[in-house]
Amino acid sequence: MSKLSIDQVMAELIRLPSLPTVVLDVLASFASEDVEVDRIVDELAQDQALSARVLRLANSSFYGLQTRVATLHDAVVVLGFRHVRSTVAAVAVTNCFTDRHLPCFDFPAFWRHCAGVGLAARIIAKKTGRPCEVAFIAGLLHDIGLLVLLSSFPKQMADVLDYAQREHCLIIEAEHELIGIDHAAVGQALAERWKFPAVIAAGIGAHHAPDDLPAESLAGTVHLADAIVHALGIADRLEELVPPLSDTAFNRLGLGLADLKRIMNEIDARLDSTCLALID
Amino acid sequence: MSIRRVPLQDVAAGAVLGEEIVDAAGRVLLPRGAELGDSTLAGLRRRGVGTVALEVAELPDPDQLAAHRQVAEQEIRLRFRRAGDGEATRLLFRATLEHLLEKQP
Repeated sequence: MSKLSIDQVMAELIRLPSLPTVVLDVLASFASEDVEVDRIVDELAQDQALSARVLRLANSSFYGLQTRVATLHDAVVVLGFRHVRSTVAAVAVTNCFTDRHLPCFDFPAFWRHCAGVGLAARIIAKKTGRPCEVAFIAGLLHDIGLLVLLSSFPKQMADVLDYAQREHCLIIEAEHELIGIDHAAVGQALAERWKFPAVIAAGIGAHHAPDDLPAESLAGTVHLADAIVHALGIADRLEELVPPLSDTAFNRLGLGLADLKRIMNEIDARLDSTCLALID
Repeated sequence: MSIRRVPLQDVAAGAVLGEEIVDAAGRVLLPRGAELGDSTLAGLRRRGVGTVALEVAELPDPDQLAAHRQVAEQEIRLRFRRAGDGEATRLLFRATLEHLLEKQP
């Protein structure tokens, strides 16, 4: 099979729908100290479908609020703008891809896995003193490159998935073998094109190779979150495989056996509600 | 749940009756399922009751436990078959197994 070039992939990225302007404003706010919160929230409130999903996630057990929030302004007051904007980014991106259907790919299992990794990354970030709202987005979107590849190169990806299943190998290994480019790099390219904060794009790009980035990056957090969620078999697929967990990345986080078990308990308790709010 | 006959002196408050207690005339003093408080236990002692049948949680069968552990371990090993045997991976394997066994004892 002929390998794909990064130029071919970039040409496809340009064809993907762009995010709504207000979502781009929200993403730009990650890099800005001077954020017009009220203006952004007013604009977000105009998009009723988006607002409804944001509120659904805000009221799910993902945040564990004691009281329900009824409007985006309430959500900003109760959760803070930082959490609301990460919720908006998560919901907007998942909305772009939820209507894909390919016979060779189990989308519900994929999204369940991604929601689990987002949740796990947030829990790990909280435990290790890293910014949890960006960790959540990086975790949720860590495999977004797979969706780009699947929608842009369905035939090649059908072969990749078939190869991975036949050879019992990780999808990233099949990608390297057959198409010469992997979903982590493509995901990073999409995150950069959509102007996600650099820390999120890098966390997505290095989730299979976290040792390449410095300890303060999010790559190790997403890498561990991905391994934990595969270990729990959350996608519930027979071919589910745990990728090798990097000793370096794990040791940098300073977690132990008891922490891992606590993280797993927390994922179990919150996953269904998070999935329901994000995907359904 | 199973029923076990226990000497009254060994019964602690909060135990639940697995069989009714009847007096010599066959009248029910306490029905099955009644929770024995301190005053009820004292009353039973005054009446000279020697043993009572209590509801007790069944102890898990060790063979069943071992079989359950083996199934869980096989299931997880299948998922970890490409994960290598690094230190962190082994710790994650152990955490996953313990998590699964604690969840479904």
